[in-house]
Amino acid sequence: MSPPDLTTLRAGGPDCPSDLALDRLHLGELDAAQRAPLELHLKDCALCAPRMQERVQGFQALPQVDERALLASLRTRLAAQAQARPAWWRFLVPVAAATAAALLAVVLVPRTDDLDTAALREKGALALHVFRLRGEKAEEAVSGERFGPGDRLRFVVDLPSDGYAAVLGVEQSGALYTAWPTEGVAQTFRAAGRHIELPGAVALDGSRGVEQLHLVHCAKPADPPACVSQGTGQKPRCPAGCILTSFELDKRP
Amino acid sequence: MAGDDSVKEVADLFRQHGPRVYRRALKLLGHPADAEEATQDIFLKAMKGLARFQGKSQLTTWLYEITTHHCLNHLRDLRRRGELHEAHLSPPAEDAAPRAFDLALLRRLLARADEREAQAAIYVFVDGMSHDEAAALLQVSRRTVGNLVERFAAAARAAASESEGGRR
Ligand SMILES: [Zn+2]
Repeated sequence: MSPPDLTTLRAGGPDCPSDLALDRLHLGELDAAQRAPLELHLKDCALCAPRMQERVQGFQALPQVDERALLASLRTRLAAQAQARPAWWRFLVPVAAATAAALLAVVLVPRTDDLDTAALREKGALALHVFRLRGEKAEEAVSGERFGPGDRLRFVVDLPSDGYAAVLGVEQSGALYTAWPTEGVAQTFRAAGRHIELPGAVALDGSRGVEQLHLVHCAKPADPPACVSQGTGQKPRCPAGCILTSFELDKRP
Repeated sequence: MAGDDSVKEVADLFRQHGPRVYRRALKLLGHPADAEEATQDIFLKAMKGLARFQGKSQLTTWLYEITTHHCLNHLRDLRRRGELHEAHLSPPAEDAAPRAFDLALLRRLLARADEREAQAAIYVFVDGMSHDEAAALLQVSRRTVGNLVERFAAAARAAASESEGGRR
């Protein structure tokens, strides 16, 4: 067998525009200078004509997808999410000042959010959602986003089964630290479900570089989790029966 | 989130971007049901973060990033749980362009690759981006993109010769 030719994976030929370029062209996201060379290429490229056609047709080009059902399901989930997420960020107290030496400063948040959300919970894959607190608001962050010293984070998790949760961080140096449970949190057992808030918030310290947060979920108590750093960029090694999912913080200056 | 405006906003956004998000998720995950689930998850995330976007000129780029991250995490979770089975390895029926072997191998490699290498490989090999385009998304230099995809390609060559020897 010949070695895999990775260049055959893409749509179009090696000199054709990327999918992203065609998507942005189709959606009118490009300025005139960006559009011109693409339009020139499209004029007489037989490979790209069907690629653009596909974009124009949208869901019509995907007969196997039930667009209406998918949209309806999305709306249901959005509505459930809006009800399930209590406005805990309104009750935040300011981050304590004297935390310079600490890796992470712990902000204790009053537990005003013990709403009964169990009915809205459903099982799903292990997931770690990171929220960045800005003033009175919380915005969900995307892994790989830029973060700065003093950014305050809260965690919301989806757990596929009952078990013990922890959020561990691996610094650029490879050092492992516990981001959650924060100080004062005694109970790390959580029943399976979606959108489970982990109480407390953490403030990022001034260390720079790319850090990973790992949600560690174990069937047995691993408290503090018996996980070992495997170095920067690597998932820590945890006891058998633990599952992990990761989130990247870009703290480069 | 409950008003008529937001209902319309979700529908418009979904009609415009849903097909491309689904297509990419299908190519990366290989399983229509997984791709549909991923499309919903990605939109849920997008709707939450939408307030951050002043103009929408970068929206497509941002959805690419969310989709890449989401699908990579999914492949890794499957691999960790030992569930990266043939269902995820076989190519989607309607996706005739790439050879079956390549997509199957790609998913295995993506599931175990370093995160940055995997992201760069998706942008360059799957989405057909130039190194400049990928560099802009990854916020690294063009040269770094070159290094990342070269490392990924080397791992692909090694994995291919391994499976040639051992025929899994
Ligand atoms: Zn072309």
